[in-house]
Amino acid sequence: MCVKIKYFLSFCLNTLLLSCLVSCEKEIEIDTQNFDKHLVINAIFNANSPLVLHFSNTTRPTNRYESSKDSLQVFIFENNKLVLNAKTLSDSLSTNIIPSSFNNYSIKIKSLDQDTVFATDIIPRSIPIEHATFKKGVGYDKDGGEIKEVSVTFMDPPNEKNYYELLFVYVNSDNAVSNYYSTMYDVLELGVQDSVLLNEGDNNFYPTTHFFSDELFDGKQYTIKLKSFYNGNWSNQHVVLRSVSKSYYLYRKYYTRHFFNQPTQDFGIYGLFFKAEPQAMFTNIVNGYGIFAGYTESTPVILEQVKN
Amino acid sequence: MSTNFYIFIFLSFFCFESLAQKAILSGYIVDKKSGEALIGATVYDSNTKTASTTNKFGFYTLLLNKNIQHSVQISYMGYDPDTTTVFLRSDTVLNIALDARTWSLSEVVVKAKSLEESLEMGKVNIPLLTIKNLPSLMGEADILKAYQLMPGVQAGAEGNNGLFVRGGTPDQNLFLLDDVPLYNVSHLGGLFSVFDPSIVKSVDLYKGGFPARYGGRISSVVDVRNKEGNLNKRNGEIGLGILSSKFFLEGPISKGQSSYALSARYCNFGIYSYLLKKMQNLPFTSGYMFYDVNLKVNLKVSDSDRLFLSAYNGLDDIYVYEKDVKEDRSDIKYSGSSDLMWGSTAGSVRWLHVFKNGVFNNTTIAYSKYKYENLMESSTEFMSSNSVTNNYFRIHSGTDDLWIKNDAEIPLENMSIKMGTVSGVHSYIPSEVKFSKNGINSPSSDVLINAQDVYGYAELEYKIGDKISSNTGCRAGVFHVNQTLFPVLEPRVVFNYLFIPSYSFKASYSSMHQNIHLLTNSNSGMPTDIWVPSTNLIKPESSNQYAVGFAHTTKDNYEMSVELYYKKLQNLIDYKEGVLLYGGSSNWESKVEVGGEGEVKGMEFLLSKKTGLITGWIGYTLSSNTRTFQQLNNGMTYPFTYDQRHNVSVVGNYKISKNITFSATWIYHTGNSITLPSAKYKVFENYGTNEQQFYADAQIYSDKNAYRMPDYHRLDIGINRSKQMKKGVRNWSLNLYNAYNRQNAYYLFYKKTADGELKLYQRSLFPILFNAGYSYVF
Repeated sequence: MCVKIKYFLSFCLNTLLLSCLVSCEKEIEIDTQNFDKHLVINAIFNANSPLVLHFSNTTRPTNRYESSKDSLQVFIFENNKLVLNAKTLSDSLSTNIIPSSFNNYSIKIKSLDQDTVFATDIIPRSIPIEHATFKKGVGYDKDGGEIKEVSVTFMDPPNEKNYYELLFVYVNSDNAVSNYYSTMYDVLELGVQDSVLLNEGDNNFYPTTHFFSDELFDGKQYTIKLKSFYNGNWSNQHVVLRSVSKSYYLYRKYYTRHFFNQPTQDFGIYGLFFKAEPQAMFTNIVNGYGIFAGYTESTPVILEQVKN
Repeated sequence: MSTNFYIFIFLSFFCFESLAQKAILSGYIVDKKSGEALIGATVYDSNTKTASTTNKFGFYTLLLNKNIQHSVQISYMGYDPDTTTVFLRSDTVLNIALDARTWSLSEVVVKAKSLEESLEMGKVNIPLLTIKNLPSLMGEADILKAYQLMPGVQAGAEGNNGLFVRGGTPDQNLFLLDDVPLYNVSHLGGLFSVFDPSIVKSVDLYKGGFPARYGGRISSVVDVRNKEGNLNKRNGEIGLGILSSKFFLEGPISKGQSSYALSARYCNFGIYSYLLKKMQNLPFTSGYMFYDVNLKVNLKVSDSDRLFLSAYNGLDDIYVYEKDVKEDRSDIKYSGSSDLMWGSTAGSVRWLHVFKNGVFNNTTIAYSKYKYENLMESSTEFMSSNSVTNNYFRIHSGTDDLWIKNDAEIPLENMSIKMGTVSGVHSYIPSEVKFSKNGINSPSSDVLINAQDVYGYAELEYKIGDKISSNTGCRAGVFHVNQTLFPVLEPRVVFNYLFIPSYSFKASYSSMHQNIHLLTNSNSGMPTDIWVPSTNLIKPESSNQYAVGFAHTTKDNYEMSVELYYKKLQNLIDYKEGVLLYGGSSNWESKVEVGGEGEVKGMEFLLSKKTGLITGWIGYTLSSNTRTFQQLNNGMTYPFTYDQRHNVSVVGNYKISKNITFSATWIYHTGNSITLPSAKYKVFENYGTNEQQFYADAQIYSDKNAYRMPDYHRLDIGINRSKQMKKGVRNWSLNLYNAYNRQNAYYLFYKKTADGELKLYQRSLFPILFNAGYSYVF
C-alpha cells in the first residue's frame, strides 16, 4: 500500500512538473524571401597538393541540393597570369597546379545563367613548430581523469600580420593521418586559460580547431598551452601548425560562430538563453558564395613528454 | 540637497507673503479601518471649485480663502465619499478617514478625477483588486502581466513578464519599489514578477508624459508602493498555489502610531524536488527555488513627521547538490555543489515632514543591490591513494547603488511646485571570474567600475482658467564614470485642454536618459543578463517622446482615450552578430554595437469601464518599431524583434454574485520579427591534413528580422470565489490558461525529418493549463 502511494505521489509530481514545462512542436510554413541562385565555390589549397575546385549552387533552406548541370568556364591566375582555362560540367575540377607560398591565386568562373564569380587569395609562408611537449598529472577531473598540459612553441615573423590554425592529429601504424582534433582537448570543461585564445573569444562556440592571429605576440616567440584528457598512446599524437591566410582565418572564425548559432542547431529552450543572434557566414567569393583560401602547414611534430 | 531646500523655503515664503488672504488646508486621507494612506483621493472645495489629489503618502494641500466657510468633499474609488465643513481662519490640518464601501448589486463607484480632467498623459493604473481577479498562468496574480494587457505595453516572449513599453526594452523601464530602483523584477526567468500583490498598495505605469521627478530610464516608469501596515488591527493572509506559497501579515506596533507590513513568498518547486529525491532515492538534490520578502514599517513621530522603513530581498537559485557520491566499483567519492543565483536587495529609510506653510518634504536614503553568481565547488576523494582534488569556480556580476534624495511639494494658488535633488554612488561589476584547482587560484579578472551622479528637478503644475492645465518641468544633472562626465538636460511638459466638458485634448513631450545598459540574449530576466554602466565607449541612451491624444468619458462612465506618439531612441546598444556573453566577459565593451537608433510610432486606443458589475477594457495598439545600427544589417533600418504591428487586448470581469467573480482576457498580436535563412549552400566544415573534405550547410540570412513569426492569440479565463468564515475570508481561484489550446510559437527552428528533408518547425511553450490558488485572509 505504502509503495503504491509512493508511486502515485511520484507520478503526480512528475506530471505536475511536466505540465508546467511541456512544449510541443509543429511544422509551419513561412514564405521565404526571393533569392537568386548563386554559384558556390569551395577550394582550400596548400603548397603540398594540386589545386581542386568544388562547384555547387545555393538553394532554399528546405530544398535538397541538386547537382549543377551548368557548363562552367574556369580561369585560374597565378600572380595575375592565366595558368588555366578550362570548361567543366562536373561538380569539381582537379588541376595539376601546385600552389606555392607567397604566390597570389585568383579564379574567375563564368556560367551561362549566373553571375561571373571571382576570388583571390595567397598561401602564407610556413611557420615551423620549435617544440611541442606534454606534461602529465597537472590535475584531475571530478571523475578522477588525469589532466595533461600540452605546450606548443613557435616563432612569429615580425612586421607582418599572421594567422594560425593549430591541429592535433593522430598518426596510425600505417602512417595514415586520421582527422585531427578530438574531445580530448576539451576546451570548455577544462577552461582555456591561454591569453591568445581567450582574446579570440571563440571558446563558447565549440571550435573544432584553434585559430588565432598574432595580435598579442607579433614578431615574438609564443607558447600556446592547452589542457588534455587524452589517456592513449602519446607517441601517435602529433601537432600541426598551419599558417593561414586572412580569408582562411575568417572562414574558420565565422564558420564556428555561424554554425553554433544556426536555427538548425536546436538546443531546445536552453538555446534561447545561450545562443546568440544569427551570424552571417564569411565568404570571399565575389558574386557567389563559398571559400577560396590558402594555407601552409608545418611538418607534424610528435608531442614529447616532459617531467613535472 | 541643502541648496534645493533653501530654494523651496525661499519660494514658499515669497509666495505666501503675497497670498496673505489665503490659508492652507492640508492633511492625510486614510482608510478608516486600517489607517492606510489613500493615494490619489480627491479633495474638492465646492465653494471655490478648487481640487487637489493626495500624493503617494496620502497627503493633500488646498489653498483656500480665509475667514469663510468651505464645504470640502473627499472621494476615492471604492470608498464612501465624505463631506466636511471647515471655517478657515488660518492654516489648518484636516485628516480624514474614509469608509470602504460595502458591496452591493447596484454598486456605484465614485471616481476621482475623470480621465479628461487628469493632468497626466500616458499613465496607467489598474486597481489591485482587478489584478487579483485576472486569470493567471500559475495560480498567482502577477502585477506586471496585468499591465501587459494595456495598449502601448507589449509582452515579449510567452509567459514572460517583461514590459516593452512604446517600443522600448525591459531594461528601459524604471521599476521603483517605494522609491528604490530595482534591477531584477522577475522570478523564474520572467514567468513571475517579484512584486507581491498581497503587500502592494498601488502601481502606476507611465508610458509617456513623464513628470520631471522621474528619471534614469528612457521608456517607462513603474512606481510601486507597498502598504504601510494596518495601524489599528492585525490582518494577514496565507496562500497556496502550484507555483508558490505565501504569507502576509500587517498590524500595529503601537496602535494608531506605528505599524508594519510583512510579506514572504517561497517557490514550491524546491519542495517538489525534495519530495522527488526522497521518493526516488536520487543521489543528488537539484531544483529551482525563489523567494522574496518585503517589509515596511511606518511610524507617526508627530502630526508633522513620519518615518518609514522599507526593505526587499529576493533571490532565484538553480541548484544541484551531491554529497559523498560513490559509484559501484569506483574508488572515487565525489561531493559537489552548483548554484546559479540572481536577485535583488533594496531598502530605504524615509522621513516625511510637513512644514507649517503646507510644504511637504520627503527625505530618503535608499540602497539597491543586484547580483548574479554562478558558483561551483567540488571535491573528489581518491580513496586508494588517499588524495583529494578540490575545484572552485565562480562568475559574479552585479551592481550596488546608494542614493540620498529630497523631494518637496509646495502648494500655491492654482499651481503647485514639486522639486528635489538626488545624488548617488554606484558600483558595477560587469563580470568577475575566479577559479581554482587544488588551491591554485586563477588570476583575478574583476573589473569594478565606480560611478557617481547628481540630479535636480523642478515641476510646475498650474491651471489657466477652468480649461487649461499643464505640468511643466525639467530634470538636469551629471553622471560621472571613468573620469568622464555625462551631463543631461531633460525638459518635460504635459498639457491638457478641456475644450468641451468631458472632452479633452492632451499633448506631452519628454526627454529621458539612462546611464546603465542591460546586455541580454533573451530580454527575459535570466541570469545571463548583465548590467553595465555608460563608459567612454558606450554613451548614455536617450529618448525623446512626443504624444498627443484625446480623452472622453461618456455619460455611462465609459472612458475612451486615443493617443498618438512618436519616440526617437538614441545611443542604443546591441550585441555584435554571433556574440555570446554567457559566462561573463571582461571585454564586454568590445562585444556590443553602439550608437544605435530606434524609431517608434504608434496609436493607442483604450475603452474602459470601471464601474458596475461588468468591468474591463478593450485596448488596441497600432505601432511600428525599428532599429538602425551602422554595423548591423549593413547599416539598414530593420524591425525590432518585438515590433508588433497590431496588438489587441480584451479584459472583462463579471461579478456574478457577492462572492463570485468571473474574469477573462483575450490577447492578440502580430508575430514577432525574426531572422531566418532564405537560402543555404555547402561549405567545407573543416579541412583535414589528408585533404578530407566534409561539408556542412552554411545559411544565407535574410535581412535582419525580415520574417514574422505566426500571429499570437490566447484566451485565459478564471473564476474567483470567496467565502466569509468564522475568522476570515477564504478565497479560491480556478484558472484556465490558453483556454482554446492555441499553439503559439515560442521560437522557430529547422529540423531534418526522418527522410532527410529539412523543415521549419515552431515550438510552443504552454498548452491549455489548469491551475488553482487558495488563500485565507484573516
